[in-house]
Amino acid sequence: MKDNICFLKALTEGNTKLIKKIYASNFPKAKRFILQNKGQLADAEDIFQKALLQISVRFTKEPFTINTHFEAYLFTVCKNLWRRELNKHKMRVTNNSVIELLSEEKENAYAVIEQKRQELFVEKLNEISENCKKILTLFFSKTPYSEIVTDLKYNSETVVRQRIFKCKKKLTELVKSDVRYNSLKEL
Amino acid sequence: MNIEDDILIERFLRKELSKIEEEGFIIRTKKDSNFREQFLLEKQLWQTLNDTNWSFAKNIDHANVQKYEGLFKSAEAQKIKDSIFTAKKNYKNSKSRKRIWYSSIASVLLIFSILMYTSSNEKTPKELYTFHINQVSLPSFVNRNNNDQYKNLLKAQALFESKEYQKSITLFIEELNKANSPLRIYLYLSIAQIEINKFRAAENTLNNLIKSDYIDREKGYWYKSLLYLKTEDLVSCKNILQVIIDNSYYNHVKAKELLDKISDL
Repeated sequence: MKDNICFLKALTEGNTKLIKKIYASNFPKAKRFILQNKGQLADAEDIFQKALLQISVRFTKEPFTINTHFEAYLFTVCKNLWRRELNKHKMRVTNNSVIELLSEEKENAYAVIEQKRQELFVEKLNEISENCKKILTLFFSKTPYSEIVTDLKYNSETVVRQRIFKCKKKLTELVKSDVRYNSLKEL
Repeated sequence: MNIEDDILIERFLRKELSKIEEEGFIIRTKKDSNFREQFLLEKQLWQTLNDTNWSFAKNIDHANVQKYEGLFKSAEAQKIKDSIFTAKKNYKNSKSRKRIWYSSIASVLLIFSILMYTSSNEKTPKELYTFHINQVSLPSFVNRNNNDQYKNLLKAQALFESKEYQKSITLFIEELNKANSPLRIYLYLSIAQIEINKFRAAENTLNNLIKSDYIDREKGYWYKSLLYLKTEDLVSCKNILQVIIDNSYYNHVKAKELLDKISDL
């Protein structure tokens, strides 16, 4: 994890030599992901740049710890920014109402808050029991109840529903009791 | 929070409520603050903890948004942005220099391999079959949740890869009827059958694949052309290749090359 600090510092201090190294070892993976998910090369370049900017600006003002490898974290941020972009496009296509156009800085600000919210949710999901984590991961991935019954060897869909209810309750309690949630929650 | 409300929220998020139920739901979120809070949190979790949706921040603490907006507008952020841009430019320049160097080498290798290829012995149908079957790369089976079915499929795949085709066929056939989505099984099974000269069985397997409604069903045509190549039934092989070319199916470019080659035989 020593490299994490080194890369974060390179970004905030504008060390172009090291940032180029970050590009060389991480951009191809992000590009592959975006190209495989309805994107173009220009999208990949834009998302990668936004991800680096998001991490640097965030770290400058509120230094945070990355509990995984820098490469994995950067890839997650790229993936999330691309998911955001795809869903924004979907909203534009399916929503007839006018969608407010925001400045680039405001969009980036929202993206940081959403990223922080996702990190909080994932962190709390990792704090609950392994069984709860497994069943909720399937639930949030929209897996049909019948498949959860088979995959996790439950007796019936009713049992699965009750289990999901209890696990979700635990998860929401953990999220709500974390002070960070107050500034991230929808009002 | 009770389980009834929880189910109601879930049905709303899954878009399963009727118009009247939905209207009632929305009214309740306006009147019942606890219910609204629970619903909003669940909606955020629902949209965040999967790979496809995204939970957009809409109505959140305004000061928090302003704080980050200010950070992105700052001179410091602009400096960072410039450094990232310079690094990106340097990275792209060095990549294109490398690309010129590699493409020169690749051109030499390409000419060399074309010469090798054209002068090689891939002339008989069987040799052409061997050449193409060796290029086949099948998708692997991945075991999710330690599922027994996948254990068998992984075993069958391992047997296939170690060329123990008969044993792999037995296992694949066992799994075929149980599978919800047997596409990959069809592919492995048909190639294993071709490899041990069970041509009629292979033809049946491929016909079943072609008749199915899987997106990848068109791969069945390519493997069927390889089957006829191995049996030296060149008339059928040419017909299938023509279907692949006409419909731009999977491997249609290779199909064109192969058709040109066997037309000379």
